[in-house]
Amino acid sequence: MNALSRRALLSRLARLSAASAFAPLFDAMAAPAARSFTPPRNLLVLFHPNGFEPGWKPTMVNGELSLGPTLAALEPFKSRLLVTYGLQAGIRNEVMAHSEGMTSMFTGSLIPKSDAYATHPSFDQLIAEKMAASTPLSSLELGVQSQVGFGAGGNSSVMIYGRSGKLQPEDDPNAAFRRLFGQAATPNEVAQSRARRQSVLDLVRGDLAKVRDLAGTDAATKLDAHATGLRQLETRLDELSMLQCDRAYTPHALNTGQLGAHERFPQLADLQADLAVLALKCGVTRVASIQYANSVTDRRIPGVNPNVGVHSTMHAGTRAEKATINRYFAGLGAAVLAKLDAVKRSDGTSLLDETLVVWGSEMAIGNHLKDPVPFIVAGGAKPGAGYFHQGRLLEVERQRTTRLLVSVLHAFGLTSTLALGDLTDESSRGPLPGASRVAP
Amino acid sequence: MCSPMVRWLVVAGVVVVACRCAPSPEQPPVRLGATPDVLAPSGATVPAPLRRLTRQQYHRSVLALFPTHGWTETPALRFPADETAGPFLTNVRQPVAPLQVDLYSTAAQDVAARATATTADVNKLVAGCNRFRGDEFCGTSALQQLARRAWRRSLDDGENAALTALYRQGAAGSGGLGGGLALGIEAILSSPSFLYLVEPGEPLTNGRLRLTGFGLATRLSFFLWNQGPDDVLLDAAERGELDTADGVAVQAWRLLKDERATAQLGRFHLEWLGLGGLDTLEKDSRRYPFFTQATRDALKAETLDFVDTVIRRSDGRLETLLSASFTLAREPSLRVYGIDPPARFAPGLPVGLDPTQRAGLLTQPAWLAAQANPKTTSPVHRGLFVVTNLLCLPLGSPPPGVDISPIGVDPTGQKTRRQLVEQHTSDPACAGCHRLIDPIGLVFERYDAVGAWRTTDLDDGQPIDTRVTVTTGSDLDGPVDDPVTLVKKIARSPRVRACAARQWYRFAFGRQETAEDEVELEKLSARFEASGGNIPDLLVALVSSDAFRTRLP
Repeated sequence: MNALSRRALLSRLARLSAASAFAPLFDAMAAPAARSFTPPRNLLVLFHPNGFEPGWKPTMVNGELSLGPTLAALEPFKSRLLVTYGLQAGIRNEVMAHSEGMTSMFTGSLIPKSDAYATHPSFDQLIAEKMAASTPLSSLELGVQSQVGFGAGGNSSVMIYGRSGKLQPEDDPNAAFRRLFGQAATPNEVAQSRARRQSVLDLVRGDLAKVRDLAGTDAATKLDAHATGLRQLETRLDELSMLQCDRAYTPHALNTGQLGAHERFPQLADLQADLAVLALKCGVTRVASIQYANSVTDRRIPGVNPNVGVHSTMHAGTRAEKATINRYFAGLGAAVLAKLDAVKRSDGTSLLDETLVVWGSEMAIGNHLKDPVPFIVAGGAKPGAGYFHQGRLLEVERQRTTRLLVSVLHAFGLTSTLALGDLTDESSRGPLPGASRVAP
Repeated sequence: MCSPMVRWLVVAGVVVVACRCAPSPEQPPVRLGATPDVLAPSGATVPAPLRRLTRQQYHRSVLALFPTHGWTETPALRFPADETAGPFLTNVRQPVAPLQVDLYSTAAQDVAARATATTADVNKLVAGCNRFRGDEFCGTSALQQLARRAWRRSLDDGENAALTALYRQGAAGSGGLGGGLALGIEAILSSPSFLYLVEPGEPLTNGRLRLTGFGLATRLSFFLWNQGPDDVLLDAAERGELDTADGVAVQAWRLLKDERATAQLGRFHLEWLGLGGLDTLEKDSRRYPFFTQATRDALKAETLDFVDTVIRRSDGRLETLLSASFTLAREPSLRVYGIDPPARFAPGLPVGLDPTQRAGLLTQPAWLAAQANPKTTSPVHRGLFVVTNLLCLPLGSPPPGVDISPIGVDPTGQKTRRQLVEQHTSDPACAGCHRLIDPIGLVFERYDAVGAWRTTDLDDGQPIDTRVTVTTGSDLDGPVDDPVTLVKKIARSPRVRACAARQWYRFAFGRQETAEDEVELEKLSARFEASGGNIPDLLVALVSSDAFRTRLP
């Protein structure tokens, strides 16, 4: 065992078996709060492109949230939602709303040019860092046709950033399943594949050192990132081989053409949602995200916008066409909540009770408006027991979206963070007023 | 306010902002010189950045390593999308993500398993080896040969020993020859020497490094073939034949004549023309129901065939690419041209086009359709493309707060689309950039959103008026009546030739140029000019240059 000591392995194993038994693990969340609340165990980030405008604003009727037609699909969960209205995206220039909208949405990174990448980690990665030691995978980034068609590979197609750069989502459910659960099955196979992997890695590490000497000045940073990736891979494969969990999931091997086919969008959305839920349920990770398409997506979804892509429709479509797309994406979010809620422990607690869902968009509408950007926070604790004051609409004005994310960090016990990235002005600092049940 | 103004502009996945809307319209940002800030990553410029293989480079390199296996697919096609620098695909900026490291690992396992799946496959890997010398001899020899090709350099004793050890481990038990080879292949393809374009060099007195033979072979081969060097190039490198500019030129001509150069010449033009997204280009299926996948494929094939024919089988000149009135069409593009297939028509055969309507790449449906909205044209897209990609004039962003809605139809029916476009040219806040962009874009209004010739605008029913005065501060300036006249001006423009040389330079190095590159760029432009715009000559001059044969530490 060269990279992983036996003791470290045993301690991880102990944590893993606890995780797989689905026990609450709040050891890392000792942050005191004004009033007590149950911190969330998991985080699931959802993104859909181009906001919910026009006309999605929910209302409060007799103290109850009334969702309206756009968010109607979320009706079964309305007591579990905090819907914000009026948050402003961290975009300086509306012309760069697609690129800066994506780079700043979860990281707070303003960018100097429209093709630059974010320079700060996203909020979910701060949470992942805190919890990394307890799971095989520190975080899981999934995408639904996020890297095909228009925008693929550019900065408008990335929302999650680690400390060393972008974390592109995996669009292929089959590859993601393999990454999460590996292939080896029997203990003998596990031991054999481990020995082979070690030998391959020994050679690769020697080569890394050689390349470091031969290549130019920026090679060190890039090769460090590569070495880190290898180290994580190795640790994860060791831990996964010990994981005990019901992996009921039918992988669908789709070819490249199918993965990029417009008409597969709904199926892929469903498969990726299943996979995110499975990963959280099995304790493979505590932090996951699903990115539906991207900010400039050309996807033409059957029955929704069959003729013109999502982004073009959100720019130039009719009100009715936009509303159809908005209802569709609202439905995808509702489906994820339903899947989380369907996973129950013996005491009746659901995975939704333990998973805080943070759902946002990079702008208010395809036409580059920076507010009101829809941000919704769902689940995360049993009703009434969590950090957020849910079951209602929170109307704000001139407050950055990142303030809500600071609130999320606080809910996870990261109370020393008061702002994200470059967004440090007054409208971006501190937890979002009125969002929490337990803090001012 | 400049309303209505620029439609959202997305080229190769990156939002391109369309105008600086300079406060003073008297100062157009016309500058062909060093533009270190234009597309380099934020912060310091990197003189010799380490490039990671693109998907295509991984794919083609793997196919070349196992030429007799008859593969058409590799795991690389499932990797996350590549980055771009300017219009070109190159993974030069961001460090590798953990997901990609995982994918490299499983890809290496998959390729190794497929390469050794059957006895016949295994025999292909050791073909030519005297099997009487034993499996271990043949297996380790094959691995050493594969590693030399994959890593694009010779192996040291330690590496040979490591491969032998891997072979033995894989061959142990029931593994046999196939098992030994598989473990070795997995390690070779997992190594940074394969996954990154390593360009070793030796110090020169001027502070630069002179690339070693292997370093130069790598740079040369990825530039002209988009894959690793073949054995002939590696052998030449090892013998020191790439140590002189002439030696490099000899190999460059060999590579250019090879069929493997075709795809790479095509890729340059697809990316330069902004056709990277053509495979999934979106058109309104109500207005253009014939714009199916078959049409997209045909438009792309037409442009690729045309480029290959002009560069490798005709005079090779940029002017011809930008002004020839023939094409090599498939039936769907003939439909866009509005001509019936001639007798004995076969896809890819030369077809003459109306010289008053069509002249070269900028009048082909592929480019015209790519630089347009799904339903309508976009004069701003087309004009901006010419200004940035053909004139190399960098433009800034529109100011905050402007309306950037698409230019639609005047609801009152009073104004033509042209008048709507011209509105923002007259606004001082927008004129700084839009007086460069819009006149050029308006000339192309003769072509609709899929590139068909038209005389009236379908949306406002008005006749198309393409008479403009071009004002870019370049040699294109002056009155122009119709697109073919403008395109011929572009084809003959020294400024466009200088810009094309610059684009090839960016493509060759897989990065944006820095101030240090300007001296070499001037020399290259002069050489290109002197050759009458001969592209093969430019490419060989580029690879023979000091810049190509050296690098900063």
